[in-house]
Amino acid sequence: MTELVRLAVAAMATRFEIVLAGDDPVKLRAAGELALSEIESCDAAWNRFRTDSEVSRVVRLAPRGAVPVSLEFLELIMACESGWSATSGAFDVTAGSGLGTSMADVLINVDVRTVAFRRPNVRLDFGAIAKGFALDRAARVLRESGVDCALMHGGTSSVVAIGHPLGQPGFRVLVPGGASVNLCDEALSVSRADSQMHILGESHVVDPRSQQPLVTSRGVAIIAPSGATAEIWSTALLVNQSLVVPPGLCAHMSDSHPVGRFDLSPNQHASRSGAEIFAHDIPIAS
Amino acid sequence: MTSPSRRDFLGASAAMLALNPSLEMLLPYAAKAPLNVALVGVGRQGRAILAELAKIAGVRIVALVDSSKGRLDAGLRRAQGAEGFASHKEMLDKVKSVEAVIVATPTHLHRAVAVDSLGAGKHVYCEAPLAHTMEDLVAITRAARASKAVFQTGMGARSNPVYQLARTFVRSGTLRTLATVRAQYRKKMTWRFPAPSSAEEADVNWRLNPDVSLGLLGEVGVSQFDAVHWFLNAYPTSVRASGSIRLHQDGRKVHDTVSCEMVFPDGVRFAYDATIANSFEGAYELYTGEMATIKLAWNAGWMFKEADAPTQGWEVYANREQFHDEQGITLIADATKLAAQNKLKDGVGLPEPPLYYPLADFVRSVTESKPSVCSADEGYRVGLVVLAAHQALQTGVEQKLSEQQFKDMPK
Repeated sequence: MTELVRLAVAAMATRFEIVLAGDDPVKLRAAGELALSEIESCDAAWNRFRTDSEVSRVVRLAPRGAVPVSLEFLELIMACESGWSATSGAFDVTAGSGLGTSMADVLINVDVRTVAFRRPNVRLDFGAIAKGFALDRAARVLRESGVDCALMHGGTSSVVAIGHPLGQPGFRVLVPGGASVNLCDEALSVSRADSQMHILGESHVVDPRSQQPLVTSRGVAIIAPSGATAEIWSTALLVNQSLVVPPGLCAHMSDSHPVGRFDLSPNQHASRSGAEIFAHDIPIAS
Repeated sequence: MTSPSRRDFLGASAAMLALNPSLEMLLPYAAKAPLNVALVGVGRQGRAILAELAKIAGVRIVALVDSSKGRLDAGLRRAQGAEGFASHKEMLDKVKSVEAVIVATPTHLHRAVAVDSLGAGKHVYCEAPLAHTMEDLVAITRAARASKAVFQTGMGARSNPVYQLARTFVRSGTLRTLATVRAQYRKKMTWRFPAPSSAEEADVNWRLNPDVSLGLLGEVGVSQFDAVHWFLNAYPTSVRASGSIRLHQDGRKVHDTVSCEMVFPDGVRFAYDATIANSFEGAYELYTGEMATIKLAWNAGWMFKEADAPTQGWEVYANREQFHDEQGITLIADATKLAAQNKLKDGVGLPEPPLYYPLADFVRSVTESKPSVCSADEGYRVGLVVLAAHQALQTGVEQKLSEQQFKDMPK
């Protein structure tokens, strides 16, 4: 008999949720908790508002010279560099540091696992990619624990699916704008520049070219093989909509769209930027 | 006794006037000499230890040990150049360059690793609690006392800059008469981890095995108990405890919710509770006195003054946070110096995770020949309290502890 286990944790100033499907709820819960603790570890390491996070340490010390970093930090910063390069600078985690500063000022030594800055006052804001990367790591934990059917999201805007519900091609997700997609071993990122306008008074996305908050009501949804890749491209397409999306990714853009809603827990959470996911499509049958 | 001595008061007053003017805590510690380290036990705690050791220049992880190939491989990906072993005996036999061993195995496996490592002349850092039985506790303490090597019990509070600062306030009498001490640990989880196979179930979920696990009081309470002993300069004379399974009705025998009360020689009572059924407010300790309350939550601390408490000079620098109706003064090490440089905000919150500090102290003790910040003797004393609390929980009978028990060290 297929059982569903739902778990959640508060991290990265939002809520992460996991729905797991399988035969043994005790094992599912144990795997889900391990995945959530992985997300909490990511938050502890990559949250720039925490003084004891690894990113705060790097920002504090890297202007003085090479700083040893963890394997996880190295993988994240390399993904950021790769994304910056692939998007011609439209995705840049140093955005907000000031004019003239870019990812090119971050020196990564893969062999000895260190990071240094070419100049002082470099800011690293992992923002959305941290959510995508954390979900990727959580998905790896779940797969290693034998879970083959699960759906996860961070703040309703980052989604990662493992496998698919029985008899379905994937987890059915309604992206802002009304399109319905199926996710199976894929990730989805939904971005809007004005999604936090009501809190911050301006966009939370900084245009790396002007170093100013982005002014656009455009919405972007990207389906990609991993959460990190989806986040890189959804952010980059907000900044530069003329970018060509690489093969293997699927993009959906709209200039205006209705407010999306997540439905992992029916009749609960509303989101200003997220997608609608029909986790209740998972059949509960013997 | 819990009352601060005149010497404590004078020392702390001088410290407060200067508030330890140093910005060293904001900079990473670098070992004075290279140190080759082996880590035994590469689970989640072991990997967290690896991450913190990687920050200390001069430390080289030369060997990792774990009986699980999956855990060992995960560790080896993080520790470049380290050799992997399935047993600590093999590691000690083959890697002669190892100078220090970090023991992060399940508690019931500490004894073999710690005693063998000390016997091989290695410095040892052993996670707390040191042991799950009196026999193992005595064996580890005896081996550490017989060795000339450094032995450190892995207790966070004694090395934590926020706790060190807070202790000067408590020991100097800033709170005046201490009324109560309270502490909690809350984290919603099952305490169950996925095992790669049914054969590894017992290995992975040892915390839920009542034969080897000291439960929440032992595994998470021990660090908070040690913090209280250190702050009060005293050990309890009696312990009562109770527990139940409130949420996780999955056939387990180990309680998911526990509480205990300890009485100290001067009558101060320490109330403690821990649960894995709820996460509200996480882990903290609360020292409530006539003039103020101090709340410590591992990476931050606050002082809440009573309305009739005298104002002190250093308060002009203070950073304050609102907690419902109360205003807390953030405890910031080096506050005076930071304020003089207009960098007070830089001191809010620790610059490194709490786990970094005891490890840095261990490396400092080894490479600079300094005393251990938490010796095997201290590990033994808090071990006595943990075992008494566990016994009280199992039997429902109050356990008495004598002052002499904390003085008589295993020979």
